[in-house]
Amino acid sequence: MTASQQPALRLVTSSAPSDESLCHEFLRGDVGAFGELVKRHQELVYRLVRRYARSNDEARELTQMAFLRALEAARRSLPTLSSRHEGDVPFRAWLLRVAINVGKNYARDHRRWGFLGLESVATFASNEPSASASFEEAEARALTRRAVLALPKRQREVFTLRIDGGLKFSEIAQALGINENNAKSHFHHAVQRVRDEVEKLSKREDR
Amino acid sequence: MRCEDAQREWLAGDEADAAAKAHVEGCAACQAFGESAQLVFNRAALPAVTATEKASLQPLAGDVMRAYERSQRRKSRFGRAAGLAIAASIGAAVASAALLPSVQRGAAHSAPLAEQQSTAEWVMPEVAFTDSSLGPDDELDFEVSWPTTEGDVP
Repeated sequence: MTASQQPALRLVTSSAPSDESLCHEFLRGDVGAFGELVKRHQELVYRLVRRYARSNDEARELTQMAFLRALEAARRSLPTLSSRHEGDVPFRAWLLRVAINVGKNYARDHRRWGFLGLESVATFASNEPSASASFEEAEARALTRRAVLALPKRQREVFTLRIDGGLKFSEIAQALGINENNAKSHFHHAVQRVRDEVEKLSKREDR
Repeated sequence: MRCEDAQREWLAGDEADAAAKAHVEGCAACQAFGESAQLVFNRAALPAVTATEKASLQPLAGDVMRAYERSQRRKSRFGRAAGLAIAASIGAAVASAALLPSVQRGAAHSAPLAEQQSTAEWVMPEVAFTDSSLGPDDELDFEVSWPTTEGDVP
């Protein structure tokens, strides 16, 4: 067996390799390393993009689209990111940005800002004694989620990264290329705006 | 600490600083804000990802890699086709560049001739029939046509 025929050996260590080392492996030509990154972050990306989807299938499709975009751009973008961050590759932050853009563009292309998305399919049993209360709650949820989608771009990004992604403000700041205080301010404004918007919408619906 | 600053910091949850938490605990307006914010979070949150959804994500890495390979193959095919098209157009351009001077030369040579032809008076040469063997009744004007076998005696 010649050297070129030998299977590529990957060093197996007890601890999982970091995102950064997988990125470096990928940039050295190991495409399989990107597959590891997909497995690691697929659920987070799925949680983020499903805000823009109408069904589970659509959310899965968007997740795949986000990773595909990332993979296509990785060879070009990751070395630039690495040089900007003194050798570190903030892969997760970069990936989340890609995912948000994919979701946002998908919603824009399908003109679904007015659509309530996956969560709008609120199931409640009409024969339950508390059917009326459940209905009101479902309505309130629908209004709230509509208000979230109507937020200004930056506020919506911060809000969804925090609520859907469960990210810390330091991570949100890194993902969006803003500072932490700025991220907190956007979140604060987003919460106030959603609350006010829901009040306004529910008053309108009552009329 | 102002209420707005305390609320903004308080929204960071566990990451919030102690001073902000203390302010919110002792301030009725901030507590009301906290309650309304909590309601917004509860209503805005999407349902938890189910086991079925998680299971549907299992083959995702393989799907992404296959889709990537397909797109790369498509790009390389397109690249080859584009390369061929570019090479063909360059070839055509080179050939045109090579042929153009000779065509222009030909045009330069033929132009005066054409001018001569257009300006020269065409004189019909006079032909004298001097064949003495032809009598006055011999047919001289006749239709010229391709020979046919029609009318031949078998």
